[in-house]
Amino acid sequence: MISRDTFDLHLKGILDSAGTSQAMKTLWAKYQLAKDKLPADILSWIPKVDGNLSEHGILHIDNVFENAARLLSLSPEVGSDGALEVKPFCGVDIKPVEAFVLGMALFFHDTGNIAGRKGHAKNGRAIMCEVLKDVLKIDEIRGIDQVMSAHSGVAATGDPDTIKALDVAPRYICKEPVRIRQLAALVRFADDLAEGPQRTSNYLRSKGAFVITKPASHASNEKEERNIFHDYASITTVNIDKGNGRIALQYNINLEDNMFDPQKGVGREFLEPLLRMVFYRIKKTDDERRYARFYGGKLLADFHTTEALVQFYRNGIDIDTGLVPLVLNDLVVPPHSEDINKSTEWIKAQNPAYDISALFEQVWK
Amino acid sequence: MNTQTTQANPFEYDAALNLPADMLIDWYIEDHNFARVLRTTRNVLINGHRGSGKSMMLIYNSLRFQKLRHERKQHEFPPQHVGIYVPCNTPLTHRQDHELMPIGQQVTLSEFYFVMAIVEAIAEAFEAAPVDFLAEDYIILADELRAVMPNIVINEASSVFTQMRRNVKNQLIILQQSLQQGILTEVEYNAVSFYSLVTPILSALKRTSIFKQAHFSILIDDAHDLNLHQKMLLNSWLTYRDHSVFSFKVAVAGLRTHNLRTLSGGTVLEGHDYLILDLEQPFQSEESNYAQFAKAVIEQRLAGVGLEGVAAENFFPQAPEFEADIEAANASVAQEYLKAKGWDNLSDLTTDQKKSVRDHVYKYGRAKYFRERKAKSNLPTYAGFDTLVHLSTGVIRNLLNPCYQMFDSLVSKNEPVASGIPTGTQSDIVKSKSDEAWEQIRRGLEKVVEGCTKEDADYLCNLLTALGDYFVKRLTNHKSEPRILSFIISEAESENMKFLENLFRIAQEAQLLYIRSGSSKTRGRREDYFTPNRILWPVLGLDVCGQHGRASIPSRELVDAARFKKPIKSDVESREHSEQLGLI
Amino acid sequence: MATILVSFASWEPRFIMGVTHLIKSGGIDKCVVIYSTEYATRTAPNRTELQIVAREHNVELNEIPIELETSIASWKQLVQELPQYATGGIDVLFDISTAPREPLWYTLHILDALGCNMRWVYHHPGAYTKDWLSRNSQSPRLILKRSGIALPGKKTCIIALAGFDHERLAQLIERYEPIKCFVGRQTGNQLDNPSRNTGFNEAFVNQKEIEVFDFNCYDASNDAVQSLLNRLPIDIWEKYNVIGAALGPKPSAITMFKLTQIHPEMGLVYIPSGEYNPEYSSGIDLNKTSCGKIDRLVPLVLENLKPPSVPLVAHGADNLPV
Repeated sequence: MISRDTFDLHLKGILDSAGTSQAMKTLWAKYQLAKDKLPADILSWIPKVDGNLSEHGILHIDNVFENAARLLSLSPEVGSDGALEVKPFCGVDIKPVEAFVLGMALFFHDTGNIAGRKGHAKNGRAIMCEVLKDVLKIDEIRGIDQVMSAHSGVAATGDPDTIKALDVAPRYICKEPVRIRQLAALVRFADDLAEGPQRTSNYLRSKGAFVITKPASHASNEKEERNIFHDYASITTVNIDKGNGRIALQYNINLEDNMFDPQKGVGREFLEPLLRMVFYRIKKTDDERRYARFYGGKLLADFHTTEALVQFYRNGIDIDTGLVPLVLNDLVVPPHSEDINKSTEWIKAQNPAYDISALFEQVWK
Repeated sequence: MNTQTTQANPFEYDAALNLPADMLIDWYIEDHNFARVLRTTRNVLINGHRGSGKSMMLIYNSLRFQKLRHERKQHEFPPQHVGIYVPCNTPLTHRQDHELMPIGQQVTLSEFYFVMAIVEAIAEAFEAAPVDFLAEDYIILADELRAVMPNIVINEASSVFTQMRRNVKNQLIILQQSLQQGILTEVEYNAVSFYSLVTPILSALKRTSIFKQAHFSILIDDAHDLNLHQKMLLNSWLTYRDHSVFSFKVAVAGLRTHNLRTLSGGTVLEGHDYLILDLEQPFQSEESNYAQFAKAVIEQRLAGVGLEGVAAENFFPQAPEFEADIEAANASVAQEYLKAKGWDNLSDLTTDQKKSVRDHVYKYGRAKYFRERKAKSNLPTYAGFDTLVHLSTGVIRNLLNPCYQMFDSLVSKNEPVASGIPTGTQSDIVKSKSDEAWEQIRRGLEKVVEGCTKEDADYLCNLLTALGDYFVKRLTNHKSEPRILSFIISEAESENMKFLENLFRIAQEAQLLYIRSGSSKTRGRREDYFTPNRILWPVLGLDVCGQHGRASIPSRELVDAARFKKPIKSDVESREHSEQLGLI
Repeated sequence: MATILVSFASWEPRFIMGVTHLIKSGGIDKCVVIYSTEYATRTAPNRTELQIVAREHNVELNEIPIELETSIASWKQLVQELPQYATGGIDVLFDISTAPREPLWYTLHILDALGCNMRWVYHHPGAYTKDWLSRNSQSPRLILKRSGIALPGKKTCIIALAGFDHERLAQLIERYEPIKCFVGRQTGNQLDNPSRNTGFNEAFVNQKEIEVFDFNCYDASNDAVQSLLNRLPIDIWEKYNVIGAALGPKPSAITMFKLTQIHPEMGLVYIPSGEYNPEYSSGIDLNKTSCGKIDRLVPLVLENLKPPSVPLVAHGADNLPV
């Protein structure tokens, strides 16, 4: 079974098989150092900085690593002695140094949260430099930072297309070409897919511990609102199914008996915002999938579909709604014949400069 | 398997495929919920171990039996959901010829065998259950077959199904003959795929006048018997999104460990690609689906031998003394509770208070009886239909088997059967089957279960013994749930679980353990829970009726019990009042 | 023409004693010993001793290691190696005494395909251990190249020659759920047969789908095969997918092999054991050696499913003493 350790096994394997160069051995040592230091010094402290964040600590990072392994379809076979029994990153278009940069970016991508959520994607570099002071070379730092900084937020220009701002051409790290955009797409996608019960605590949720305090305004007093993100995390399962080219989301929504009292409306009050969040996240996941597929090259080319299924339970017993999975894919079926005017309008919608009238003005100005 | 007797034994429990058709139709009890799921156009995986009734369910819903049901019981025909039954426990499936070939060709050959079996099943279904096709319908079918089946000769369109079978047979014979020749493996055959052969045939059937609105269910039985390539092929077919013409209903023994990977390296997912129909149902209460089902099965069988209208509870009566003792224990427990609560009369209580009394009696009444039995007395009497249902642990064959022996025992002694099975006979058979189960364990499961070493057999014996002792101790000591007979595993460390999973596999194969999925205390999630076959417990004097709930046992304790014969101590609380022991 | 002796190495005394006896009897110029890699250590002493015997008698000794774990592994190894020593027209004496059934059948198939003239010999042990013989049985599997002609839509019928281990037969029946089962039960009092066969009656006799008859599993002559055929209804070959199992004494494997020559539509099935008792047997009883010939019998054509109206055609005498 693929686990957190799968990625590490493959990384070690690919660095070992890259020859006897000292540089490769050193990369593994650097990675090990990060693995030793980060959990205790940084990751386990992140939730404590802001208790209302859904989990961004060790569990989250483990989940992201596991997602990366699944996105790359890394084989989990391990022999009885713990050694990897398959060719590392077999079938994956990735080089040893790229695998190292990827691993480091996965480790550090959320460390910036220790200083608060805002701008955390950018703060990871400073933490990396601090934790691995005098360990990483400048080219390594720059490369890792580029890969991880694009995982959330906006680019310096304010453009949400954070990966666009990254190097198109490979960047040389340890004298090897590293495809920054592709790795950044993978980190971002693995992070986005790290959803599920591991990001919350059912116990604390049931005690109402996860609330958002809305400040008082001229219209209302300060009030506490349910933190829908934690409810969402508790019902979500993400399946990364590379073989079938899909991300399959599953939402298991359990309703208590008191939610079926039609007069009280408790059920609808609970369910409606949750469903809105679910639908928001389905679309977001599909958008992220397409985005990742665009920039991810061969690494993520296979993921052509997002599927989502919502299942309802009453006290753990299935409620049959007859819902079938929602399927969102990249299939475009060329029409048998198309109205030429429609195509013209469509092109104009993509880019107004291609409006025929506007073009005429440019040609005969 | 049955013994020849002068009176037909109504509790026959042979494999469904080997039952005579009319017997199967007469005996089958339709479950409304299951029928509803089977009639969807979605793929369904049917989970159930040996004896749970999955083959019977599929066969009952196959076209041949749909026709027989129409003739005998006026069921709808032609049906809206046409069942094509494809058994997989066959010598064709078990062939290993594909291993003689390079890996790519292995998949091709495996698919060839599987697809041929499905095509044969379609042809056989329509030969065995003819429908009133029009001449144009036959032409549609014949044209399609000529296009997709090489070398098929159809002189008369109406002989289309016969010719299909002949063509399949010829291709398989020629291929298998050539595979048997010599040393080298060089074979020629017309490779086919599901989409190149089965889909066109079903689509052609759907274009006929009879089946324009119909849906075809391909009923795959014993899918666990398929080879690895065939399993992955089937899984790949399950991801096919278009269910307008057909869907799959696949019976598997042990879905928990079934291979769900597709040929492309993906996985089929519950909900997305298939629904689950779990035949291993909760059975804890009289009102449970299983209990109702079991009652219907027994009464149907009795009606078949001229005992119409005889209730199962009357045919398998409870021992009056035992009933009286339980009543007394319940009353005593109720009184103690009322006194402890400071309540005077049951009749003066509120609804909620009465419920709390009932709950308390449910938890402790029977436990009190079993705890307080005299140390030197014999084992309790195990009789009564309710007891037999609980003993079956939710598997219908486990109910029919002892019933069969009880009936046989009376007949062989020339005793009348019409008035039911005496409680003494019931109890004797139950205790002897309990002894047999332990005897099999002690004799060594390595002799009967595939892939079980002597060491595994010893470990499993230790584990089951420890579980028995644990349940006994719980019955004696536990404050809140003394009669629990199921458990979940906590602190599931991977090394421990690897060890335990092997033992569980063996125990399941030997039908000594059932693993089911139930809702966990974390709402909306499912967890595995483990129920040893309750036939093990009569020799320990346990209450085989058990109670709702599951004990939580750390994996480490289970491993220590198996490896080192250490007792399981977890979750066994001492009771406030010590009572005299003596369960055996 | 000199004969090639093919044998299967074992730690049992009757292996080394039997092969030594055959070599000393003369007429053997080459000996091929097949041995299982899983038991290589256990069989090493006997194989070493055999090397000495072979040298002393100017017999060329060759070894073929095979893996028993999977059918395909042992098949591939035998197919690769055996043709180096056996070619068309060569006389082969196959000592089947200690050969597991699956490689035994593969060897017979390959030698038959190569056109060898085959004889077989089986050495009885002095005694079997009173303890367990084998355990940890694995999943039954059909023999490559002898899996029969199976057709969908037919139910399964089992023909089994059974010996001590009726639990194996029960395992087979449970696995394949046959509609009919024909069981030839070993007759006689040799080697504690009656006491070892306890439980057989309870398990199988008087069961509706199972027909039990007495059969001498040590007799693998053509007559014995014919008598087995006569026990079976004529129509089973057309009506059912037939599977054959040799669960009794080793010569029953020869009988079943011969049956597949007449009825190639029958498949042979093997149940591997995970463990064999190191003290499996002791001694050898050379007075009770069984032997015979394996003729190149003409198989019946499938469409003409009648048993032969005359005894099986055999080229040469049968049951030749060695």
